[in-house]
Amino acid sequence: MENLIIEARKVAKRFGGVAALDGADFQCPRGKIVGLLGENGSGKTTLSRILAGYYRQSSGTVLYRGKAVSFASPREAIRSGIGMVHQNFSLVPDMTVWENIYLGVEPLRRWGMINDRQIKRDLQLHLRRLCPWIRPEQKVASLPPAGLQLVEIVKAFSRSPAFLILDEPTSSLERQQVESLFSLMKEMKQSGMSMVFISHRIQEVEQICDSIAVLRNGSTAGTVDLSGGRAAEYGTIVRLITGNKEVLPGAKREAKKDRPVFLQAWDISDARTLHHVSLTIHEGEIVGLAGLQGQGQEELIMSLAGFRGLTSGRIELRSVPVPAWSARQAVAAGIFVVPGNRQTEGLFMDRPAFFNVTFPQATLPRSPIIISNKKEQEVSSHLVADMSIKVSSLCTPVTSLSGGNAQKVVVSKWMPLNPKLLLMADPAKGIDVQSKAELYQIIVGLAERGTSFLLYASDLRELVACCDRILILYEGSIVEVVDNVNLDEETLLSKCMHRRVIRQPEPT
Amino acid sequence: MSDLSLIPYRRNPGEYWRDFSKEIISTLLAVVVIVLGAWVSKGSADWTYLLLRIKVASFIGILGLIQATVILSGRGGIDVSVGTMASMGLLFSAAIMRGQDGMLVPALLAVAALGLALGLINGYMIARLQIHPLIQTLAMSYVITGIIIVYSQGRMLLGRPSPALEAFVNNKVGPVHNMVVLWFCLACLMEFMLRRSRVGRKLVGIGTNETTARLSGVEVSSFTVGIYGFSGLSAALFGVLLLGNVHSVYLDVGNQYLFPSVVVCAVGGLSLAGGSGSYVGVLGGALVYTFLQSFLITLKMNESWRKVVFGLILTIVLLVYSRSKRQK
Amino acid sequence: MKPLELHLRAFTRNRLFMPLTVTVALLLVNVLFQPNFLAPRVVRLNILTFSPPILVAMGQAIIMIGGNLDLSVGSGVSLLNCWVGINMSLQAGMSGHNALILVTGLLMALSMGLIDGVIVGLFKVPAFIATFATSFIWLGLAIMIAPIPGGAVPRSFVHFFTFYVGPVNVMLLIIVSAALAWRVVRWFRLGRYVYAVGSSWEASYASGIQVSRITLASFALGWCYVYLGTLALTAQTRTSDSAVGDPFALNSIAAAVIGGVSMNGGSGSPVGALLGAIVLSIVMNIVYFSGLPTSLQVLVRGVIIIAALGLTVVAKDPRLGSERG
Repeated sequence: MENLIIEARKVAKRFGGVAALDGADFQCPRGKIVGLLGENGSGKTTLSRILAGYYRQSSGTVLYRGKAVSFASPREAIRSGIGMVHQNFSLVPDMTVWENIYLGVEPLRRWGMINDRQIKRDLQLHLRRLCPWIRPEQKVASLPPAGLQLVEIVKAFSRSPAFLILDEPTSSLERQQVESLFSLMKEMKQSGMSMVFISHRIQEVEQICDSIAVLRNGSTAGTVDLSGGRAAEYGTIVRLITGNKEVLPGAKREAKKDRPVFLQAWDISDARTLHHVSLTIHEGEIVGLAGLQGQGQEELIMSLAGFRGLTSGRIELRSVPVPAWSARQAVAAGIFVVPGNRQTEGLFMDRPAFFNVTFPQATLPRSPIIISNKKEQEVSSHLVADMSIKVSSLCTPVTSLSGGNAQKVVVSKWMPLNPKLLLMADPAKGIDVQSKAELYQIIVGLAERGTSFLLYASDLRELVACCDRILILYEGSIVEVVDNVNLDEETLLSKCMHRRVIRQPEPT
Repeated sequence: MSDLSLIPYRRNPGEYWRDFSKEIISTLLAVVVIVLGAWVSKGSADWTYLLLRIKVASFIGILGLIQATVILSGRGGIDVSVGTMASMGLLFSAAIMRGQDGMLVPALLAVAALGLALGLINGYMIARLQIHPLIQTLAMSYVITGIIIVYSQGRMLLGRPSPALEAFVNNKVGPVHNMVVLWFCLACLMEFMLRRSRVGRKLVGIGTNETTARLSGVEVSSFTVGIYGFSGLSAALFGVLLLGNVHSVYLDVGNQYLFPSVVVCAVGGLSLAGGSGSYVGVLGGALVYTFLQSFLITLKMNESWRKVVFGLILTIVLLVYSRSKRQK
Repeated sequence: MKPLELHLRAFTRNRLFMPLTVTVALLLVNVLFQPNFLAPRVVRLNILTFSPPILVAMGQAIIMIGGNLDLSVGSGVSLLNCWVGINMSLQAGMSGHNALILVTGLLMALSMGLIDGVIVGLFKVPAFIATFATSFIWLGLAIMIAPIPGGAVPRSFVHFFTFYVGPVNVMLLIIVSAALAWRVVRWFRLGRYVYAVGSSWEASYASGIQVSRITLASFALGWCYVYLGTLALTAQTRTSDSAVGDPFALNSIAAAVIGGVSMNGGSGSPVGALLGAIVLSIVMNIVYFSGLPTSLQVLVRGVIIIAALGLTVVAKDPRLGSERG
């Protein structure tokens, strides 16, 4: 068909013996926005990378503008008019915003010299639309995650590709920025740009896309046409993705305020972000941190874990004050952290599964000096089984695990240590629906057995589904504490958005 | 809760290749080079010669084990000061011992303490002040060279190894030299520690991903300081072993072991980025290195050709390793 | 804020501020120990002596900015020096024969750079160990050409490098042109891409940059500077010696780091390496003229180098020890 800008027919991709894509079909008509959904391991990441030129397919055809193509590198794809919005993958940290945006496609003056003046002129227009608060001369390394993502977006759009792949472009953005992005996308669509929108956020995909393709287990599970009206097809879509209904454990949440207090923070502040935060966590309680992106959630988690310095305030464990709070204190007290970026902070990527899963148990001070082989195998076997981690053998390197399974590895390494409090930074970010449900089931189960949780999630539905209480953060302070009784996502969202700063220690 | 018997440790033999390819390659290479050498020299070589070469390999190999520890710890860590530490250990222990058995232990202690102190300084600068390991250890080697020169005042040095030391270094256990036995035992011990001890686990973790290790509760800074303290200490003690082997005491004796210590790690398949590789690889690497040299000498190559061929072979081995890594 | 303050602030934030300050400070110290340091005759001699380390350090800096390093420059200097020194004939100054030798020398330097660049850029062997391996090859070839020190260069060759255009030395001109050449390269995509690849090759690849080609180019360009430095060295020593290049490998790296070039790539400049090489040379000078016993000189030199390195590192990141645990 001539009105398809991109068509993939029975595309397969094997890595070693594993088939990441197994005969997937995909179509994107000219001038339309197609959503691409699927669990991690469904092949949508692989498909998008093939389209963008990172991989060559093992078999099958990819037709671009009606002609069969097989790109050897992203450069070839870019030259053909295909662009991609990465997840902070294509920004050079030591360079400025404007140098990054034009990297690879710099306009030239005579004799091939870079035309700096034209760049700076053009750029002002692009930046002003999405992120007027970013200056072109800023070094990329100094930007927050939302800024990085916005620069990636501007970078991709400024090249006016004929076909643009957007890979999870909204994962670090606030509502307002997402709306700006969507209005830009609609405008570009009018001018004829075709787009693929990859996301885990089904509502967003429903909002902006003309149709949706769902991948499952490496092949196309089905397509949903939204052009007839954006009626909520949510259930259909979820069923296509998982094969069954989405379930987050929505057990009855009750306030646990009568339980003994495990940790109390009084008036803690750090150098830049947190201001006079006070909170209480009871035993077996699941406390959520809500708020717009970048209001201090990650910093609070890391400070309580002892990995960020606090400039004032104090922390009490079971009513006993602990001076000079540090990671060593936290770990000794059974307080452990599940960091935000599993690949760079939570896992030893090239190491086997058993190594990752038993690492804290093997290396913490109270552990035996010599590690018994048999015991280690036993423990890892149990853990992998209990946490439903899909891995072919205990020696498999974690690089070959899907996102959901990898995240389970990150969480499971703390299990044998009898954690009293787990601090989690967006634990379900970027993992598939099935694994997400399993993860939260584990969290709820542990809470019932006495482990406390302090976690923040960018998807508010996760918080609503499993937290006992939710603390709302704004600009580094807690502005409201909400009991999770009859709370729904919209109410929570509106509380996060319409907040003034109230700089008082919050009574618990 | 699923049936735990379904998750095997390793599912198939292919996994063994994935996990141990570098060690296998370096061992095979060692065998090939040794056999080639024996075949080429056809008769003029005998067991004694072979065992003597292995003794030479053991010296290089021991320093290689020390260097491997630093390389495993990651961050592009290479201890360029081990050569000068060894020289220092040799000179100072000779001066303290002066050929007397009774002074052997004090000499060992003094040298160990000095090596430890200097190594800890290295570790502190690298871990706390974030100075690149290459630069820091390079600078330390300048300093140690300076100390040695000041101490020796450029004169010929007095001092001799004690008879017990010489005996230990030069004697044999049956047909095998003491040093070879020592080397082999050290390698086995260190390999065991690497895989099965808390310290070894931390080392591999830190070398693979420092951030993850820290967030998993490991005190990375202190451990790094300790690693360089260890390398300083053991390099200095290695110098004492060298003393038992040489007939005259001179300044540069330790430096000639520096580059080989890095080469045997590379040939043994250790990744210079850290975290990957094992001491078993160093065994193979040292044997390859030593026997390759003697093989080239047997071929009656002069020094220039030997260097060229050695460089070419090393380059080819590295290319092979990089290909096997990319296919994973 | 007054404009003057703003300018001063910008100046102190500049990467070259610390190396420049250190250079000036050391210069003054040197004058203290060697009062005739600034005398024309001494300056002329020093320019010739300082030039080889300066040029080699600049070449190394380019390779380091690209995210790699080249340990084989030392042996490379030896090899190029032996090639030029042995093969040039003493008669008839700049004859065709001699010109040919010089041109082939340049081709050799480029080949060595390209070979290193291919192993590191195409085959992705870590630069440290890859160039360590190739250094044996170059050194072996050097010894083959000149088993013992020997050979000589024609007088006109030496005169060329010590020639004066008015008060200005040709050598100075060469160095300044070399520095300016890099400035010019930065106006083009090649220059910018070397910095990009050095800072993050993944990001560069994703942006459509041909990473391997840029790596190759950075090695080739760097070795051009190395060749220039070797020519200056040959003019100074007037002979061939396969051991002459030994200190250049590590010293060029130290000079670059002192000059603010990052070991991780992506930042710094050859001008900084130039200053770093001057710092190193002046330090050696100071120590020599300080009248300290020879034995102490090596020690003091080492300590000063550590201090200079430490200062550079500290200057780059004032928030030391920001990580806890």
